[in-house]
Amino acid sequence: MTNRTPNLKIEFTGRGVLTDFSNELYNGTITVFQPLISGKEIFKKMRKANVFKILNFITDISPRSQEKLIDAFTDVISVEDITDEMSKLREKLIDAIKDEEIKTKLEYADKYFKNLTPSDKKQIYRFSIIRTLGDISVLRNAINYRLWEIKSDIKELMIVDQALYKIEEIIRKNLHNMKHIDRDLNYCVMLMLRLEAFKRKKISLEQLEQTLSYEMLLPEYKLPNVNIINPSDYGTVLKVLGA
Amino acid sequence: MHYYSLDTNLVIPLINPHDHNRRLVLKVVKKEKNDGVICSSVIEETRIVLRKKSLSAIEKCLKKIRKIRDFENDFDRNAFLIEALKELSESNKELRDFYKLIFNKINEYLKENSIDELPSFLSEFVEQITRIVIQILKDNKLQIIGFNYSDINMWRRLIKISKTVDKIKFKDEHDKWIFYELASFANIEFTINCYTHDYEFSKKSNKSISVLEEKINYAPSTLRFTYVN
Repeated sequence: MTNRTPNLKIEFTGRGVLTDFSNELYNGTITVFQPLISGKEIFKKMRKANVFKILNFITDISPRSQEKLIDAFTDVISVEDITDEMSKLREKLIDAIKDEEIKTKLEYADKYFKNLTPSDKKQIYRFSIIRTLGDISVLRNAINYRLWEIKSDIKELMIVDQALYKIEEIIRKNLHNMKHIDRDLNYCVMLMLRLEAFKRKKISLEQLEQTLSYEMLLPEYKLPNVNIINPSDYGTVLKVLGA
Repeated sequence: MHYYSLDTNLVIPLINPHDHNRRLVLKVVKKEKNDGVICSSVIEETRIVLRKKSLSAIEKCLKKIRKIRDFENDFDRNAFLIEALKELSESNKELRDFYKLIFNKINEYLKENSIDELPSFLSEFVEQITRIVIQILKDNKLQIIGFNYSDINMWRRLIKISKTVDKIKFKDEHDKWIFYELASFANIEFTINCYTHDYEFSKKSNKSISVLEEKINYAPSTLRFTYVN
């Protein structure tokens, strides 16, 4: 056997993993954004042709349309301070969609989902969580093995992995306790899109790292006295007060 | 009521059992008769420092121990780890305490797990170490203080304090906010003695207190910074 130079161009970076496994990243993001998608097959089985067709349309959009959709979404979250965007993140993301057909279908899915019974909603959420956990597991495994490589960018791989780990933990918690599922999934959508934004070089590694400290947005990570403000907001409050 | 408080450089040793200042802070906490308070700016800085230093230490550790997968028995692997820890600690004294912490975690992990997923474990560890801060403070009976939106009087006091000492330049934003926060909270009925391992910070803070006493009649002896070494 002759020694041959490898032809595969693999980047041992966080961005490299997000690019090489962009399907998993996209699927994870869109499933968390619209959980109904993960129950597509159920609606097929139930012969709900209308819903199935719409969900099928969303999942089967061309790679080009996927790219445009995520590009529009990442524009919304590629801001310096994401905390201001969090309360109306969903509305802002829907508003940002330029393709009217995709927008209408996502809005339909939203309405349909809202009208499900609480028990059906719970089942759909569970589907969505299980699928997303699978996608995250693929990404994290890829990172883990690239971290052993000599050429790896350890810091970048680690920061991307920590964002994924955080998403994994938050959604896994919701498998058992869905008390705050809407808020938690909203937070995970933001984190997934920050990863997409990093992949697209819309935010830097430092900004992605900073995102990891946004855990203060979730009450369980907040300081015990819930009324205490995050110290990084002190400057903003003083400006508002005219100091 | 009299309280004591700790600066970030003394909170970190409470979290990292391998920190060279661990004994120092435990001595302070044990000796103190008063209740303890920690301001939220210290918590924020602690989390940032823990994340950055543990990430940096892991980055260097992983580079150093890549060959660990080549060892087939535990004895050779442990000898390799000890040698790697020694070399890393000598090359970067600033991260020494974190190297010890990370190597300890690696050892614990390898006792029960396969080596292949060690990088994922270390990555998760960085996340986890920032989350245990609040629990460890609670375990040490340290109460957390910070501003809230509704307490207008406290904000007014903060504005007054920050304007009075705005010419004094602290080393960084964290130091500035730690001082402002403690200075705003401290009053005749709530005196605070803050321990720090940073001599410059204690000097600057005590100078700022003198300015406050002189210019805005800040009650004497309500706040002081004590350098411990």
